[in-house]
Amino acid sequence: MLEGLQLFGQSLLGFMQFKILVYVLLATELGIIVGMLPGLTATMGVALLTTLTFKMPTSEAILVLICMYVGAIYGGSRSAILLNIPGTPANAATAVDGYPLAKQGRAGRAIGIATTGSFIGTFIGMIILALFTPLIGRFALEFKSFEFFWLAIFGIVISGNLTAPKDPLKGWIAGFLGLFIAMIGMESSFAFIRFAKPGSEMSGGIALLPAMVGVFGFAEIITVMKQSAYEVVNTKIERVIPKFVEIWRNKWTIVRSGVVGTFIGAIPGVGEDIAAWVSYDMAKRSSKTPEKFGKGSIEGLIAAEAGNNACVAGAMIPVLTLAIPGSAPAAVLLAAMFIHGVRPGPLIMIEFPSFVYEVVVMVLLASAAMLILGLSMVKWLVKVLAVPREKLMPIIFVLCVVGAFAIQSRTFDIGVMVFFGVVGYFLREMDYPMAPLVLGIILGDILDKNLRRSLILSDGHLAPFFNQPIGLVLFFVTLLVILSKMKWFQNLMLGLKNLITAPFRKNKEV
Amino acid sequence: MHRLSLKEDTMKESNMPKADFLMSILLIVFGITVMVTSINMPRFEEMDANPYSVPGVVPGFLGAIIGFMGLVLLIRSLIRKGYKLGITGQTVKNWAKEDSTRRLLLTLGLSLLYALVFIGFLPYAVGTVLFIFAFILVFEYKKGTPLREQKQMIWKAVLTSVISGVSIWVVFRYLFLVNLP
Repeated sequence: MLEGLQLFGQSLLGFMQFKILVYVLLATELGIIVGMLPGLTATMGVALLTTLTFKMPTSEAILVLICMYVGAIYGGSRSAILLNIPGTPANAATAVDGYPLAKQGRAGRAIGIATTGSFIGTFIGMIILALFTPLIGRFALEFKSFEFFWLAIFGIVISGNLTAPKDPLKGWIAGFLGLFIAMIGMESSFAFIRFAKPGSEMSGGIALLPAMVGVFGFAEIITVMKQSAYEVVNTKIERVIPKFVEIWRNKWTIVRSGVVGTFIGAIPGVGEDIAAWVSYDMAKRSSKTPEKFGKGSIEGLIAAEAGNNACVAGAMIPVLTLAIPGSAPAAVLLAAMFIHGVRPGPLIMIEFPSFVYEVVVMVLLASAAMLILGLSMVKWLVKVLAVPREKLMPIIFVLCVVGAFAIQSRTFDIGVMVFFGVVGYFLREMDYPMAPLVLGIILGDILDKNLRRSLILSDGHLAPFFNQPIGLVLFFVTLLVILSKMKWFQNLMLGLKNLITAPFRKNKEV
Repeated sequence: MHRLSLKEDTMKESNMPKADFLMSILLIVFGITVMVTSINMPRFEEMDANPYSVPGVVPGFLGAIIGFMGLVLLIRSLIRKGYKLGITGQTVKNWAKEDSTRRLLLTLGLSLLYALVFIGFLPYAVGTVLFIFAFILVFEYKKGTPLREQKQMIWKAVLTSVISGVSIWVVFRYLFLVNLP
């Protein structure tokens, strides 16, 4: 603990340079703009900045990316409040109460509350990140191939479950397709090339970044352009800085949303959008005035924004300790860390202990910049929303092409981006979520290595998959997640519950 | 991301079993193909490889799961009568007439033209400016607007495309030292 504080202090001092602070402000502001613009998501922003920063020193590059991430998730609240169009999917819950507030002429107030909520949310997430990462890192050291196999399967199943709540089967299908995509190219044991002609571009495998720029960038452009144009409303913005009482009155909502958001962030492949909805839902359930939700409730707005921003820090926990992304933008961040030579995973507390605290400081700096920028320059920044999409989208597509190409300078990667964009668009139209797909591309390699290693260790027997405590827990949780979506299982559980509680109820009636 | 209107929502809902039906067949075929390919992968017996470590094990396992999930999707779509596709000349015509279809096809066409043809055949900056210009022109052009307004729109499109295209090129190439296609 004390050592942690010391490392934290050292990292903080290390970042206190003029140049770095300018980077923080610029990257966060850019993030806010990216987040505000419909069609540009946090994932896209982080992916594009990865290209731009890969010649920078490691810690500066990761800092810039984290600022972009925090800024974009927050920035999406602007368009949600002002246009009723969430700038990123993470802000859909924000629009529910933010837009009615704007219509009532309280746009400035809504922006101020969203900003403060986001800041406190990030802050809570940061504290949990700092406390839990070393603990989980130590725990993850116990993981062997059986556990990693189950972790990969668990990640896909839970991500599919939560990102496609209406139809989890589609989430799972997307996840397993992602795992398959990771199989393409040369495998590690025999250097055998799978599902590609030797010597072809495909034999090098499908790179994560071009695929992500495709499904989160190009597919989004197609979606935005297909819809009829949105109208830019001209709302007057009054006072932005919120009253202290307003925040204090909702302190428990903020804390609850922050904690819930962080934990949802830590679940593999379940991102800010889900975090916001769950915090929003919980706030509504425990509210004294649930009828105000959807009609401009301050409580609802603050819950959504604290939840989605806390998720950012939460998503970093599995990235650092298990090398498994907690959300889609965190997946890009993970890829960027590998590009820069940091190897996150169970060994991080041994190999790069200071890096964990550097990341904590980065989140702190980003959230501070977000608060300052979010409460100032509001009127000026809103003008960005007036840029018509007909002009914006082609420029974003040009950036998608650059982003796909730049890291490896392969024209093939542009093709990959286009392919994933078009296929991703149609899959999204059919309600297949993209986050499990991307998670699958990352987990595929882990699954491949650890399933084969496990089978060699167990000599083909399946028993060892089920008789180790951690593996067993992961298996049961995975099974429960799948079963919980089956109707017969839900009925069975309901029946069991009635059976168990029946004697107590009888007693009560007597 | 954006909320769909009620009409679009119900239309999407009613078409979903059909989409699921087609997708499930695709998934089953895909799963089987992956399994067959995986089984035929070399076993490296001459190298005395452990039979559980050969390259085909994991993809074969994934192919089986994907195929199985395709089967579940197929059964579900059959129950919901997804096999009644109901594609006639009229539905295709209606689809083609919709404004959103036009926008979709235009976006796809222009983007693919740029990414797959312009890049590589034209100098980067020229291709990029041309693409941005064409995109703005196609989407901002409205029939029946006065000639003067049209001229103005074209000039604005030229200006936007040249400024943004050239500045992307310069900033990435010379400021951030990024390799451009």
